[in-house]
Amino acid sequence: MCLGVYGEIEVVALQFEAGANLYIVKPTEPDELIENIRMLLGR
Amino acid sequence: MQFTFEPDDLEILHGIVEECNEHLNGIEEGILKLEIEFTIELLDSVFRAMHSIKGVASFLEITPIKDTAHVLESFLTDMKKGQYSSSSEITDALLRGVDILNAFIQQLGQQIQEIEANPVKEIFTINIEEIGYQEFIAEVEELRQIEASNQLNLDKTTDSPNDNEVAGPLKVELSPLYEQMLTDFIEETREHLETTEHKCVELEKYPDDPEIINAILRGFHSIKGGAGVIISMQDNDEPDNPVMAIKTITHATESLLQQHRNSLKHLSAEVIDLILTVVDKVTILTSILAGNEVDDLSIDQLMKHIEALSEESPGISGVETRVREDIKKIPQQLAAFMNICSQALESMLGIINSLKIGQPIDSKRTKQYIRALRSIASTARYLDYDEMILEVEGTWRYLEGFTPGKDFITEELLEFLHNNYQKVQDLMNLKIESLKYLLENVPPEYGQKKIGEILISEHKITPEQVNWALQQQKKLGDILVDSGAIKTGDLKIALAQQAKAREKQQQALEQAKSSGGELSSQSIRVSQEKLDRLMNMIGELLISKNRIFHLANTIGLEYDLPGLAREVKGVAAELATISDELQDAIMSARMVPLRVLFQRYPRTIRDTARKTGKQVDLIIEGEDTELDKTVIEAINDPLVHMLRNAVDHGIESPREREASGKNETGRISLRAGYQGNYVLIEIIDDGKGLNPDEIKLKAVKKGLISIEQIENLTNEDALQLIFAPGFSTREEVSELSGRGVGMDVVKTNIEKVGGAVNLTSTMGEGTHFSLKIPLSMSILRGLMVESEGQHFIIPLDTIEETVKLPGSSIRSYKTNMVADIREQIIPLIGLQDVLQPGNSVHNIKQYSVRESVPIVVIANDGNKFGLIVDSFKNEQEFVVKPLAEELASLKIYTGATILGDGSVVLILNPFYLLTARALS
Repeated sequence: MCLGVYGEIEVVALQFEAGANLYIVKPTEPDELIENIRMLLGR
Repeated sequence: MQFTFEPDDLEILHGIVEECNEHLNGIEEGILKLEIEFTIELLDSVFRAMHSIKGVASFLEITPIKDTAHVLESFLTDMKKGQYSSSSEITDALLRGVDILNAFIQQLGQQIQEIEANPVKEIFTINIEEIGYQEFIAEVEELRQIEASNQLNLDKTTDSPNDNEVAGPLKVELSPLYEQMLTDFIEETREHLETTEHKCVELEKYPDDPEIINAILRGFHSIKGGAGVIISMQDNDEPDNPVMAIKTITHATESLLQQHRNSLKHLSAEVIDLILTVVDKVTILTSILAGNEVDDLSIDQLMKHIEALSEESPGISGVETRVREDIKKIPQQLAAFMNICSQALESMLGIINSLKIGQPIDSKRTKQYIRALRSIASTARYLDYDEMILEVEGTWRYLEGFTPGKDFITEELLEFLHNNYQKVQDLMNLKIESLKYLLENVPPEYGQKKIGEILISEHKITPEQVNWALQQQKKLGDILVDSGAIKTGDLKIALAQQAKAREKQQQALEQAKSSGGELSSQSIRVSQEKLDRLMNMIGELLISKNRIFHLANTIGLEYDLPGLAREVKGVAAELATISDELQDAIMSARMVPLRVLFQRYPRTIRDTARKTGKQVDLIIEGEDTELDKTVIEAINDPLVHMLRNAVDHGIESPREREASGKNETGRISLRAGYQGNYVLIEIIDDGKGLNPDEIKLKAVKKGLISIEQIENLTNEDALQLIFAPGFSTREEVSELSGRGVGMDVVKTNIEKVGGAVNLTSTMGEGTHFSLKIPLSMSILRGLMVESEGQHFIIPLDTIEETVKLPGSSIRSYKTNMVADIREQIIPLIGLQDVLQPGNSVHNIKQYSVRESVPIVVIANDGNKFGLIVDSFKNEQEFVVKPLAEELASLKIYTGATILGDGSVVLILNPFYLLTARALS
C-alpha cells in the first residue's frame, strides 16, 4: 500500500506498475487506513 | 503467498506436513524405479501417493502444493494412458516437481514448528515462497502437450493394436495408507467423542465455563477436519457416505456452539442434550467405518434439530452478530471497498487497453493484472462476497496458465479480459449499492441492540410481550398442539415412535462402543518428546537401581549385616528385571527402520551420477534394520556424503570402466544388518579403489604427516588418513564432494553417536566402508577400569577379551609396545599415556617391571589393540549422559555416567583410540 500526496491517475498507475495494490492520498483517517489494510489482507 | 489459519488448524497442518513427507519419499523412489522398469502397478502407487498429497493440501486450500501435485498427477495420468513412457526428461520433470513439493513442505514444516514453539490463540499466517512453481506448472503443461502431439503423430503413422482402445481415467483404489489413515481417524474420533461426552457432563455443572465450551468445540472441529481429510482421499461425496455425514453434522454442531459462545449465554439443557445426541450419532457413524452394520444412517432429523436450535437462539445468531459488527464498520468498509476495487479495476483497464493481438504475453503486466485481481479477491473475502471471489480467482487461475514470452495475446484472450473486467465492475457496483442501502436504512445504534430491544424501539411489541415470549420455552409438540396444528393423539404416537428409535440408537451405540474398545488399543500416536522423557526417566531409574546394589554392598561390607544385604540385593534384582523390561519396551518404541533413510538415496545416487556423467546402480539391502530415531537422524548426512563420494571419486566413467574390463555401469551396495548391540552399515563400490601411495604422498604435501611417519605406516593405516581434517585426494575440488572436509565430518558425526567408521580398499576393485552404529545412544553395558586412580568405562561390545600378562612379556617393536596374546602379536597402548600425552608412549619400562599388567583387548573389524589399565573393576549397565558443550570436542570420550555412589565417570570411545593409534 502506497501513501502519497498526489492524486492524479498517472501517479496512481505508476505506483501500480511498481507493485502497489492500493494508493491512498494523504491525509487519511487511522480507522480508514486500518479498514483498507484489513480488506487488502482479506481478514 | 500468505495463508491464514485458525489455531485449531495447527494440528491438521502438522498432519499434512507429516503425511506429505511420507508420500514424497515413496514418490521419489517410485519415479526412479519407473525410469528403470516401467510397470503399471508402480505407476499406480506413485499416482495414488500424489493424489493423496493433492487431497490433503486441498483440505486447507494450500494452493501451491495442491496445484503442483495436481499437474504432476495429470502427468502421471497421461503416462497411465500410454501417451508416453518414462524417459530421463520426464523423470527429471517429475523429480523437479517433487523437489518443489518438498521445498513447500519444508517451508510449511519450519513455520509450523516456530508457531508450535510459541502457541497462538488467534488466527495465524503462513508465508510460502513461490519458488517458481507456476513456471514449473507451465513447463509441465507444455511438455504434456508436446508429448501428446508426438504420440498423436505416432499413432497416425503406425498401426497400433491399441488404436481403438480408449484408456479410462485412472481409478484411485483404497491404498494401505488410506486404510491406515481411516483407522487413525476412527481412533481419534472416538477419543474426541469420549472427551466431548465427559465435557458435556461437566458443562451441566458449570454452564458458565467458556473453557468447557471451547474444549467441546475443539473436539468437533478436529473430527470435522479429520473427516475432511478422509473425504478428500475418497473422492466420494455421496450423502450416504458416513464420513460425509460426520463432517456435516459436526460442522453444524460447531456452528451452533460458536453462536452460543459468542453470545456468552448459558447453554440450555436442550442444547447439551442435543450435543450428546450428536456424540451418539457420530459414534454410530464411526462404527460403520469400523465395519459394523447399522440400520439408521440418516442424519436428517438431527440436522433439523440443530438448525431449529440455531434459529431459536434469538439475539445470538451468527447473522445478527455479523450485522451488529458490520453496521459499525459500514462507512469505512464502503470507502475501502470502493477505493481498492476501483483502483484495481483502473489498473486492469490500463493493461487491457495497452494489449495488442499477436504480441507475446508480458510477464510484468500479467503479474500486475493478477495482483489487481488478488486485491479485489481479498476485499471480497473480507466481505464474504463469494460471487466476486469465484469470478476473480477463476480469472487469475486462467491467466496463470499462460507462459509469458512464449504465449501470445489472442482475440479470445482480449475478449475474455474485457468480459471479466465488466463482470467485476458490475459485481463491485452491486456490493456498493447493498452496503449503501444498509448504511441508509439501518440506524447504527441498532447494532448494539438485541432483537427484542429493536422490536420494542420500533413499537412493534411491548416489553411485557418480550418477557412473555422469552418464557415460552415450550417444546415443539406442545406449541403445535396449542396452536391446533396437531392433535394430542398424533403427538403421543410421534413421541412413542421417537422413543423406539432412540432405544434402537442406544443399542447401536453400545455395540459401537464395545467394538471400539478393541480397535483403540491397537495403536496410539505418541510425540517423540514424550518418548525422550521416558527414556531419560529409565536412565534415572537405572542409576537408582545401581545405587541400591551399591547400598547392598555397603550394608554387607561396612555394617557387617550380610542377611540384610542379601535381602536388599534380592529387591534390587527384582527392580532390575522390571527396569530391564521397561527399558526394552521403550527402546523398541523408539526404533525406526532404516528404510526412512535409505529410500532417499536412490535419488542422491541418480543426481550425482547424472552430474558426473557416470552410470551407477544402487543396491539396497537390510532396510528393515531398525535404529534409534535420534541415531537415524544423526547418520543421514554422513551416509549422503559417503554415497556421493562413492559415485564422484569411486566409480569410474563408463569409458574408463570399459577399458579396464568392467561393466559400464558401476555398482554401489548399501547394506545394513545387526551385529550385537550395533548396526553395521556398509557402503561397497566396485570402483577404482583408493591408492595408498597417492594418499601418503598427499598427506605429506598437506602437512598432515611427516616423511618419517610414512615409513611406519602400513597401507591399511594410510587409508585412515582420508579421515584427517583437510584431506582430499582429488586435484580439483568438485561441486559434489571433495572439499577436503567431508570424510573428517563423516567420521566425527559417526563418533558423536558412539559409532565407528572402518575402511578397506583394493586398487582396481573398489572400496568398502563399514559404519558400526550403536542401537541406542542412551544405555550401554560397559566394563569399568581404573587408571592413575581414576575410573573409566569401556563399552562392552568393543572389548574382545581382558587378560593379565606378566610385565616381562611386553616388548618393544619400532616405536610401539607389543605383546604376544594367544599367539598373536597385538600392539599396546597405555591408557595413562593417551590421557596424559606428556608421558612417553615408549616408556615401556614402567610396564615391564610390573608383575601383572591388566590389558583390555579392543577389536573392530579385524583391527585389534590392547589397552593397558591399572585394574579391572565391575561390569554393569550405564546410562550415557552427553558431555557438556565445553567437553564435547574431546573425541576420546563418548559421554559420562553417574555411578551408584553419585560419582561421575567418563565413558571412553575405544574406536577413537584405535584411530589415534593409527595416526600417532
